[in-house]
Amino acid sequence: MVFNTGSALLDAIVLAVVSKEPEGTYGYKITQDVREAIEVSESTLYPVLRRLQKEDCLEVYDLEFAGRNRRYYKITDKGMVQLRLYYHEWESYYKKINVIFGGVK
Amino acid sequence: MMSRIDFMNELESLLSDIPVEERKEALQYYNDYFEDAGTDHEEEIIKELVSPQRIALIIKANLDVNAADPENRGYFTEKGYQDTVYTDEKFELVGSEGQKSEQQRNTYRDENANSNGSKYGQGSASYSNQQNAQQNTQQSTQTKNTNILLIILLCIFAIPVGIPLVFSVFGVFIGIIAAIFGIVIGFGVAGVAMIVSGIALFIAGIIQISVPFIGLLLCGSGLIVLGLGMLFTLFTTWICKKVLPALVRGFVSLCRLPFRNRSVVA
Repeated sequence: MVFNTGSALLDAIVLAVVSKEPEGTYGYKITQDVREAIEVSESTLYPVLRRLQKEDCLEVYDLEFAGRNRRYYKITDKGMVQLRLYYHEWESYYKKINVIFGGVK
Repeated sequence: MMSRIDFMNELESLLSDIPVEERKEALQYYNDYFEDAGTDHEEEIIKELVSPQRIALIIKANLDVNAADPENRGYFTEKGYQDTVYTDEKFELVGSEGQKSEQQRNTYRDENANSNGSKYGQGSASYSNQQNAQQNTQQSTQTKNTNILLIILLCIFAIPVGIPLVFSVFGVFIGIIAAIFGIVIGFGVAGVAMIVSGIALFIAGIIQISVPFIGLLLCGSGLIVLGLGMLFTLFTTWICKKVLPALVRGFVSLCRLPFRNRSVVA
């Protein structure tokens, strides 16, 4: 992608991806889902997930899967509030940009 | 190529100096990651992670950030405000541009290796915007100051040319004004003189009326001169009433122009 993704937008994308799974989701899948939208390296998301967890936007729990404990991430109420805030910011942002781009083809 | 086991072992030993909980979290994440990706992708992931050293540095850098007061995130360098670790991570391209991102990653790794981890900070977007805005204001004030300095210098250098120029412009103005006054006064005097001589001619004509030819000629030419004199006088008074005040007003406002500008600025 030619456009840079700022840290706030990355936080928002991660929160949105996690929020899509009410039962929670895990690191590898989150990375794959985020990659549907933006290009991130394998090492990008751990610090983001860890920080969001520390900020109480995500909660973690371990669930047994294929004979091992897998770490799951789930969005918290605080995380949802944050995500909605990001969404509204994003909405007004892309609308303004679209107006400026209007007519370009 | 390093194996997954080697990678994880090395990462664990590199993380031996961070809190147990943080180490466990990170190792769990990357273990899960390898497990969920499957053995097929192992090599690919290790290649993309580059090295355990790099991963350990990223984890440690973010730990320092988390411990820090959010207000103090980020730091200034000669390049301006740095929005942190993410300059490393997020702007990195993967996949199609493998060669290029490999290079980028190496540079980033060098940067990481050369810097003390605690220097790394992470800025929330809004904070970094604020910082940038502050910087911009500072910069614009600076440019303004330099501009004023340049203008002062220009004024100093312009003095040898400027003062004669101002005087000559002033001289030309005075000349024009004097010429206008001269013409007006000339018209006025001519008008009055013509009225006087017209009346004198008329009286002379009446005195000479005994010789009707000369008397009437003198009376007639006296009346013509009187009429012309009256016209001249009327014209002069019209100029004095209408044109001169307008001219004076125009001249005054022209002189005020530079001062008016200055008072607006002040």
